[in-house]
Amino acid sequence: MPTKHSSRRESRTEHPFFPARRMIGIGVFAVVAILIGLGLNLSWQASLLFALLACMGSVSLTLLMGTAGQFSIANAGLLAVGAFSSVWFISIGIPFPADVLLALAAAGLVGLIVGVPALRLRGLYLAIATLAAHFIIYFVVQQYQVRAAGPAGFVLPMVVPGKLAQAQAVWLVIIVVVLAVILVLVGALMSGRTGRTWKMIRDHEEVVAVFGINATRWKLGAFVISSMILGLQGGLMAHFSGLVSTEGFDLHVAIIYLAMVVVGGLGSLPGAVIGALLISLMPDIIPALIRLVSPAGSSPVLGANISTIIYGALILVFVVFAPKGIAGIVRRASDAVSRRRESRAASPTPTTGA
Amino acid sequence: MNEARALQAFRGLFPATETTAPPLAARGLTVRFGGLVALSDVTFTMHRNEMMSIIGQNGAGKSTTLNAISGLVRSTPSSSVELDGTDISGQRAWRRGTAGLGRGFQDPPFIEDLSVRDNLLVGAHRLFEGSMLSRLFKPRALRAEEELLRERAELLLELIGLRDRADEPTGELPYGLRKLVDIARSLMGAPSVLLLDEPTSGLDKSEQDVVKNLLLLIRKSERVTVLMVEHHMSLVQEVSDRVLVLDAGTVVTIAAPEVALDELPADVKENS
Amino acid sequence: MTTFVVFLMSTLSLGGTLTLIALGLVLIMRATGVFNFAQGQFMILPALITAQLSMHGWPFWVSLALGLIFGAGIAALFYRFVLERTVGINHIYPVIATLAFASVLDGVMGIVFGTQSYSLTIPGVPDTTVTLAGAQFTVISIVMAVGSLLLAVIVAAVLRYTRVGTRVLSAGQDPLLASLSAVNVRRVFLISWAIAAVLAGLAGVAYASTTVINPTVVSMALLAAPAMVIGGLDSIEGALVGGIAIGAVQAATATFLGGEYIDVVSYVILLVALQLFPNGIFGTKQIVRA
Repeated sequence: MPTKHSSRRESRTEHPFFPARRMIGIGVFAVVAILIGLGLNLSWQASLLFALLACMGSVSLTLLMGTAGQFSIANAGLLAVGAFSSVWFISIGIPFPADVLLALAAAGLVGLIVGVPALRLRGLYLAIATLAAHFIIYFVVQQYQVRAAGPAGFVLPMVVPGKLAQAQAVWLVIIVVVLAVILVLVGALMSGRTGRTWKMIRDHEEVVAVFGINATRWKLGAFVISSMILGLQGGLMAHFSGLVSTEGFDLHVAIIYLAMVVVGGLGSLPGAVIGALLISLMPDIIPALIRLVSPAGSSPVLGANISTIIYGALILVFVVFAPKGIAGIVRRASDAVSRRRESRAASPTPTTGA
Repeated sequence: MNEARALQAFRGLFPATETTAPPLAARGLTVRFGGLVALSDVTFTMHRNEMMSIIGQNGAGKSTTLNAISGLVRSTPSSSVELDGTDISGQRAWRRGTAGLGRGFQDPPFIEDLSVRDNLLVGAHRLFEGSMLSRLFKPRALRAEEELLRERAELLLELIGLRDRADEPTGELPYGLRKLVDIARSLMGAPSVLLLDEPTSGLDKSEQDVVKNLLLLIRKSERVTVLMVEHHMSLVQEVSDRVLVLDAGTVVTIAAPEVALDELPADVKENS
Repeated sequence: MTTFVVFLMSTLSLGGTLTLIALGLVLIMRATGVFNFAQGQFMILPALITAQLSMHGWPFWVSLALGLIFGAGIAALFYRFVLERTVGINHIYPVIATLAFASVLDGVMGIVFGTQSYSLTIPGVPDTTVTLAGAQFTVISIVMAVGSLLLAVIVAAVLRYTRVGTRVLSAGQDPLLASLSAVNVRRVFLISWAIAAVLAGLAGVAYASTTVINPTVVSMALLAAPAMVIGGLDSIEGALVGGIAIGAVQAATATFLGGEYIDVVSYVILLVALQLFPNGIFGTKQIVRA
């Protein structure tokens, strides 16, 4: 019978869905995020919180687009579904956090409605269907806003009591914990049998059926899961910022999230987090950059245009030169290092005599 | 691993079949691509555990036959395909896969970044599809299942001699080994009928021998019925119980290898 | 009667614009298998350039030519230096690339042209109105509508019935052609992108001459997506039929519901069409997987 003591067997005993290394990594990340967050001033802390919120969407998109290979431009729309659903649920008397959970479900439902017609077909159809979804959702929430709130949007009452500093600290913990849970779940989905199935669909959709894989069902699953996470983020964002308006959910926002996952590395969990943090914190850097280029000062419009160019350019640069993103670069570097180490161990350089 | 052990271990991968129905039967299988008739009225019935080779010139419709049976290509409504006695002609391709129809490819598709082992595990999908959600709530059952699947993969890796390369990214494997892994992957799901598309194409003599030995093992195990498209006549003769000759989408003859090969036009015979 | 004539004219006008844009999108889809999210930017860029140059005294036709050449050039460069590099890896990257490109163009055009609206006057076309069945129409809008549709039909015919045209159409589909020589295929793909950009640009110019053009118009080009879905993503004829169909839908919506409903109605129809006839009226049938 097969030899029992192959040196490679060690890796087999690790849990298929919740490997120790990833769990520890997420735990460390959560702790570090909270510690750093508590040490920041209120303004930077808020930026960090928005960045951490963005990590949720980014992670869900890397699952959908990177692991399952399905392109969707509906992310901003689904965030809007989450945010505006929360507003509506609150308005009919459902309290926080139940409204956020319902918003999550609402987004999942929207994902189902959009996904069913599109996902029976090639991935390209989902791109078009999600484009349609974006405009439909945008229209609906815009109508809701115009009728129920006015051009400035909705204002939500504070759900976390206390002074600003304490409330924000509580939000820090809430957001980090929720993000950690999402990281654990998505990480589990991206690995093991679910990850393998999606990757096979991503790379060879036309033939996966021979393995008994119902590609449509699996693609729909990925899309609905990603929609739910986006809905959750939208709901949390609505309550954290207290303001909900259509401005935050246009096509440009959708492109920003694409930048996060492409820069971070499609299909990589840490990549999605890194990409989200980088891209979210970038707007704080852009005004500084603009000042370098044109010291005469900049208008917010110029800043907006420059941002649009930068996000697009970043994506293009990475797509052409580093399609696997930062995660890919790091992996290649560490592979090169370990390969050098292996070859040095295999063929030790002879000690040079005098 | 000696041959007897290998045979016994291999047999252990497959549940015993009680069906008396023919494992695979095609009746009037016709495929049209626009105006072109790729397959016309292909009819044959396979015997349990037999190994049948489909031979013919390029363009005769051999791969199309496999694709039509797999469901990757649509056949006309009048066509009929039965798997273990069940009519699968109306079924979607994935259902046929779940029902026990396995498939090997001429240019094997893998998840290049993943290890050989992981790609093998993909082949076992049909063994657990349908219980995905329930597994979420039964972690112990999940663990047991995972363990079982890994053992299957280990065994197949051993049988194809790739245990020491199991953790390598599949993209780094030479073509010959990819074909081998593809066949192993198709066995992971314990199919009752296995369709192989040119398992030895592009392989050198020694690699062909490895595949041949695997095919002989499969044949000896009497656990899988194999329908194989092949060009290498010597292999066809060595492993096949029967040979189906296809020409321009129609069945010319189905006979024992020596008989069928005799009837071939000379230019087809040249492909040994 | 008046309402009907207005409806008809709107249909022709909107349909003309959409058909040209959809044709370009279908060309790109057939060649490089991607939905070009930057088509809206291709639509307004030449018009903006033409308007800007005209304002600075350049002759109209020269400005137009320069605008179209620039648009075609940008499209070709984008294919050559970005899209070509994404072949082979995950098919998601090309789509992401077109979206990113659209974003870059948006930003650049925003800086160069600002947010103001531009209008084009085409020399040689009388600036008068005509009355048909009790409704008034500008001569220019009639000319543009008819011209767009005529151009679309001509382009479709050229693609369908000339040798060059069939090569362009089959380049993305024909594996034999692809294996012949990499350079040939690249040239065909470049031409596809360039033509698509020119068609979109002409649609934009037509639009700018009948109404105005500004950065928000880009989303109009995306309304070609419902047209493509109805007609079939890879069908030339489908682009014509779908373009007119959606033009009619938009005209009807504007009349009975109001202009602000145009987008949402068009996109709802897209989803419904996707569910009911996924391959469109003329598209090549795919195996609808379970």
